[in-house]
Amino acid sequence: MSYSATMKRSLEIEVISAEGLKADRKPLKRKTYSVVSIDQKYFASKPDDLGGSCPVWKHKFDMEMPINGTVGFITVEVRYRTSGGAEKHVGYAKIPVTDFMGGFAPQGHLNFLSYRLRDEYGDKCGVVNVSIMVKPDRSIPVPLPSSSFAPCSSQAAANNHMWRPRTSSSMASTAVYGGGRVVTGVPVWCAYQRPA
Amino acid sequence: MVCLPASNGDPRNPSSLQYIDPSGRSNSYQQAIMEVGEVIQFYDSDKRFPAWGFGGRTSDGSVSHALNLNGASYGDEVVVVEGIMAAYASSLRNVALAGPTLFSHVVDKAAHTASQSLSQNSPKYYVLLIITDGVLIDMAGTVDALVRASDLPLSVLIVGVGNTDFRQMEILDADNGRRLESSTGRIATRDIVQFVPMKDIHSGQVSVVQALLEELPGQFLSYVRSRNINPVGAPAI
Repeated sequence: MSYSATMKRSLEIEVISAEGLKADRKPLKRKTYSVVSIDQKYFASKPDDLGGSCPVWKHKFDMEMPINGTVGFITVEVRYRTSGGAEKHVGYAKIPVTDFMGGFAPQGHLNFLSYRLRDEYGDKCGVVNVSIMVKPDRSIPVPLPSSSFAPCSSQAAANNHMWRPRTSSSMASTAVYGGGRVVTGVPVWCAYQRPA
Repeated sequence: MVCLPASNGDPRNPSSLQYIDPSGRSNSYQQAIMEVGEVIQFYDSDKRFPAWGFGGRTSDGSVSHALNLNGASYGDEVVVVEGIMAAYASSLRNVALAGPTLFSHVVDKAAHTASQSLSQNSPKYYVLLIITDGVLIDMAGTVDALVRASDLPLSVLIVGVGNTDFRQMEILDADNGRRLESSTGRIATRDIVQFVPMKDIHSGQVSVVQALLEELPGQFLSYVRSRNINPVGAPAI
């Protein structure tokens, strides 16, 4: 059992924003922050600079999640601090692990997820937007997706390589995110563009 | 991906929406397939469409809500619009019409197909076309399925035929700005549904295709932009 107890997966979580935050049924004017908790571990984002009912945090961080079946939910809470320093809770949402692991989302897929926030009385008090990516675990072979349905050819694109994910090659992503320098050369994806 | 109901009426009854006219005149479903299919087929390189039916009782007696329209037990694809038309006509002969209209099975099936493409590193965008006479018995299940699918490269086009009350479809369309909310509190990442009733089309000036495809470019762009997917050949940003 000690083996399964140490099985963890690293998640890249971004708390992006919230919409329509309310406290006592009135639009919130405070500078809120969000707290993500997994299995008694917490991560708090920076507070929103402007304050108000539609805060934008865009705060990205990594968290570990045990995958031995003990964790069924990730919790996201929205809070603010009063001028006296007291911590107040606006609302929370529970994110089922199955919304970003297993199911429709392959490993390494960036899941954009939104949830209804509810306050301590269960009343609706806004919506929170997050993204969650399960980082691919290189030590475990990735199982192929189940093939219970026949492959589909109904792509909207005129051929399979009409698009490329900008981050599909390490070269491209380095060029884009690695300090903003201009890189000349032939991107790796070009080699795959025109199969003979 | 095309999906048709087998649930509303006997194809031999002239008052049925699915009446097959011996003189060859199209019924509402056939009209919808022709008009929409003729445009969307150009967005598919091989012009092969998986076609499914819902609410049909197959030869083994089971009721399916995502059966292969061509009648094959494996392989659900039919070729171009004529293929859909032929599969539809043969399904009306071979499938007994049964039971209620459920969308959740076909939406889940389409979502499954779209999710498979994500792990294959060859990005594709899928469109599910549903032609229906309307009244869903699994509204909550359909909303849940659409919310689950809302973060996938998938749009759902719904054509309503007949004179049923289409208020449910208007809710699914979510054009009032309210994002769909599932029974578990998950909110649709984006709007992926467009609904158009045929009767509006035939009484007005807009073509069914124009009305149906109106939101598709925006839905497609909302997906690729959120993921920084560029068209091939575009200058790297």
